[in-house]
Amino acid sequence: MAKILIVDDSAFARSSISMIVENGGHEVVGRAQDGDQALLMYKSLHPELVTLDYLMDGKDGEEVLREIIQHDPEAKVIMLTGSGDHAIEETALQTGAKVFLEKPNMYMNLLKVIDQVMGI
Amino acid sequence: MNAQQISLTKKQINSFDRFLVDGTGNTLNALTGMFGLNIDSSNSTIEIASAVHSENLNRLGSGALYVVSSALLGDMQGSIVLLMRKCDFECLGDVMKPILNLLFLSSTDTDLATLDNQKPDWMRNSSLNHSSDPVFHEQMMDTLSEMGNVIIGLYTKAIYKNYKLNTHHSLPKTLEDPDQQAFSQILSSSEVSEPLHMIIENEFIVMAKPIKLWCVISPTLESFQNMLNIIDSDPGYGSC
Repeated sequence: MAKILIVDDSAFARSSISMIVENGGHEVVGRAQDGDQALLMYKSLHPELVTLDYLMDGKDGEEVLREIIQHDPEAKVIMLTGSGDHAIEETALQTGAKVFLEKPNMYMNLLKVIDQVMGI
Repeated sequence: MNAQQISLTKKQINSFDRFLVDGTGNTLNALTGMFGLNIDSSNSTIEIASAVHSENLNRLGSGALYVVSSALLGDMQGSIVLLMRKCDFECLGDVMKPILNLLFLSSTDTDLATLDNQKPDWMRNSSLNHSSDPVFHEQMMDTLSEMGNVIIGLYTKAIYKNYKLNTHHSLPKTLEDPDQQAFSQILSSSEVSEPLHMIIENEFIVMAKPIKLWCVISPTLESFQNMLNIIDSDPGYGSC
């Protein structure tokens, strides 16, 4: 079981991800709706894993990822995106995301990917 | 495919038909995964037009619309707009209500209970409410926004798959458009000069209810020409 922080500007996405991971036996320790909230929650809640939306108002996912990795180089972050742009994927993985998951696939594969990242 | 307004070769028409199949198939799979519902596609068409007007959007009617729009960035420049009629949006709402009730029942964060001044424009200016249930209406608008983000991403993916144009989209804007003025403004105020329009009309059957969704992709003339050149130089598309 992993303690997970969900970062997404969509309430629908936050609730969906929450339901998926809780049904998979994981614990949702926080749900952030923007980058600033995500960083505060990461520092105070110490999640073992973060699901991070790429496309958000204000700080985008890449910026948030960079700040999380700066604070904790060992952070386990799964970047989620609605975009299929390979350049964005490469940058996210180079910045420190463990996995880059397209949102349409997320609904089917998120639990498998979490297990993979957590080494379960 | 209807390409009466633009002169296209058979090979180009075949290519756009294949793009339509990819986009529609991906959308169908994504919506099924997102909502956990039984969804089928009953009808899909694509039309390439030099202008968007009542003739090529006649089934859209003149009533209120729900609009999700983004800029196209990267190898293909332009804009992309998803459109849903009010009747389809409300029909989707009827189907989604039990799912959203279940999803938002367990909400523990601030989710949709944000302060008014933190809400996006579509929440503050909301005038088209689902059966005077503003909370559910907000949930539906948020769902539409996420659905739009995912579907727009899938069309950019189909652009890459078919034309190897690495394209992504800007943060989508979601709005209610009671008199279709916002949609007209999006098309006319686009920074794209002389755009062409790929008008995709999809009808999905969601839990036995037909729901229509339009997608208008408007690449710049240069991006569109680039796409045609790629089709013409690709022997994989064949000529029949």
